[in-house]
Amino acid sequence: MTEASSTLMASAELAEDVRGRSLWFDAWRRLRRNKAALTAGVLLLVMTLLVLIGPALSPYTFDFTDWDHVSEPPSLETQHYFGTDAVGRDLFVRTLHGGRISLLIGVVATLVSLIIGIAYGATAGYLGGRIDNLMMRIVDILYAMPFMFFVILLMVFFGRNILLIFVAIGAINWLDMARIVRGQTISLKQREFVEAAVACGVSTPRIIFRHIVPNLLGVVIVYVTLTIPQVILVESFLSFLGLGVQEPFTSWGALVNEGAQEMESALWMLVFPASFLALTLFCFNFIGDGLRDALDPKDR
Amino acid sequence: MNQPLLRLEDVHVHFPIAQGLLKPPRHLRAVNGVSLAVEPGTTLGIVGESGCGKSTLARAILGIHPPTHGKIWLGDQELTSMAPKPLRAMRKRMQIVFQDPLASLNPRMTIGEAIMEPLRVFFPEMSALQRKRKAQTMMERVGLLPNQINRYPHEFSGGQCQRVGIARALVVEPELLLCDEPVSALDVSIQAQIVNLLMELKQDMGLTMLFIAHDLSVVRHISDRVMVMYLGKVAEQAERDALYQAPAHPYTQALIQSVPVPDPVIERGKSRAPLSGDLPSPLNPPSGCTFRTRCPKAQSACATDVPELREHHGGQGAVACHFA
Ligand SMILES: Nc1ncnc2c1ncn2[C@@H]1O[C@H](COP(=O)(O)OP(=O)(O)OP(=O)(O)O)[C@@H](O)[C@H]1O
Ligand code: SF4
Ligand SMILES: [Mg+2]
Repeated sequence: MTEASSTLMASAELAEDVRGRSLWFDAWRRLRRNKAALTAGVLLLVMTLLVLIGPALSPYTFDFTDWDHVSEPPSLETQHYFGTDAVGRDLFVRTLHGGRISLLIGVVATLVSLIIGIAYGATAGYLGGRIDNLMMRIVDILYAMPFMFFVILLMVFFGRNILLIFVAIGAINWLDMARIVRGQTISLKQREFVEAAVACGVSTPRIIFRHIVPNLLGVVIVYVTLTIPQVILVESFLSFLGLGVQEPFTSWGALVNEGAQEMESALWMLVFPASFLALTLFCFNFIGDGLRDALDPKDR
Repeated sequence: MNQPLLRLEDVHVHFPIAQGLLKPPRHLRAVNGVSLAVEPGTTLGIVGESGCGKSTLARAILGIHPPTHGKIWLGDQELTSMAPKPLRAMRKRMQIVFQDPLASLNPRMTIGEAIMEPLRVFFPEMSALQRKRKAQTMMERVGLLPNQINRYPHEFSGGQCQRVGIARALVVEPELLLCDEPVSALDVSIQAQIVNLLMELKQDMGLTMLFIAHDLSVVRHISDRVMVMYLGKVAEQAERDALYQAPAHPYTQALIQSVPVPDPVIERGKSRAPLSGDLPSPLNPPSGCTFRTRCPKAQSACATDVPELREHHGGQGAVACHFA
């Protein structure tokens, strides 16, 4: 190899781009050191996998009535691992199935409110002035509406419907999200880097989505992890009132409701769904706290 | 005199300050009738205390906060009456470097993305690779290693961040560069490096500069002409040497006095605290000459008559004082 080509190689090596350490990466490193949040994360992952593939591990389906084993306690022999309910359905499968619905409602309703809330809040906050005023007054008006009451009324008239639950929860939650995002946006808008982007001629939508939104994602993520359990609880509350998902489908809330009615004679009907529900709520809250610490701009 | 690259005529920027629902808003006159002209290839230094409206003036020129009144020309184009679209195209011709280098960079974007962003706006036909090459060339010119392109602002020092800010401003090859206190937030040892870099780049790229600072020492090094502002108005403007050797306005004199001198004997011999008192609120400026509350030469006429800006320094400058 000639000398010239070897120095060329050397400079090419030097020109290899150094990888940057993003703030997300820093946050991830901090999160990894948080044992409680990490454990909660792993548990939640296991829980998700379990509700997804668990029902396939049982010989029973969630709506199959086993007339030979009605209201029986857990037993490995009959393969009713969590026992059966008052009409002979397998509780192991039903608990996991209910978990699917509960988690789905939690995640989907939160995502819906998240998307609407971010778009709405960031737009209002960034545009400011009269538009902001108008948009936030609309939020105030919607806040004053007794949505839960409407939903209960609607369900009484038209029967239970999982879609109504989504709508009800989403309609309430995006208002909070929009307010939080708007506040963050207003403070971000005054930061110099946004001004710098304006001075560079960057278009308004691009400023909102490239400069504002990534910087408020930290707060939003924390809020999301704390909202999902809240939504799950609201759904449980509705189920407890007998207004949740429609039979034979079920959710943790509905199962806890049924279990509570048989509490004295068949404790297992309450214990399994209730502990799955509680564990999930705990996990979300621990992760939310961990994320808040990890994303906290204070020690940056 | 050549045709100026930048010309301002009686520019005002007033901020409405709401006072509750029923009362009409009051107006904060952050910039209150500034006229100036900068010839191509020269540097105008703008000096004044914090809050006198320097940044607001820069924002008005860039159209970030358009003036309430007055006209701004860049070359032969008048900016204030322009539609938003052509105005955005004009921003390619003028760029700004900010005071706080870290705050002026998006913490979630790599410095490469920051430098390439104006390219994306003004040269949409460029390929990603061309943009990257161009950004890296610019990084090299401002003294950054081109292989640092994927790093984030928080991984750099203040001085390096300011170099990124300069690269971002210059990558589209503007004609006019506004520097809003580009070194105020930096260590003294770094300040000189950045000022020298700016002077070098100005030479190489044939830039016209507006250099804002709050004390006269930095400005002296870099400017051809200097303008002194007080409460949104021009107090004095002149050729650099004329201004430093024969300041006409009492405010300029006070500012020059307060510049520390390296010689301790002279420094000790200077009269202390030439500028007493605080800057009055721009919401409620004094009548007549706005400087009269702190002026050692103030007389009764100063309280009633507003001093107009009039020619001085042998027709090469102007001053706004009854007794200069
Ligand atoms: N958006 C705004 N709304 C209301 N008042 C404002 C706004 N921006 C600036 N001001 C006011 O205008 C005046 C001039 O501010 P400006 O930032 O231009 O001063 P400055 O000379 O750049 O000061 P500094 O040296 O601190 O940067 C200040 O009194 C400030 O409070
Ligand atoms: S006009 Fe009067 S108050 Fe104003 S600077 Fe001159 S002497 Fe001072
Ligand atoms: Mg300023």
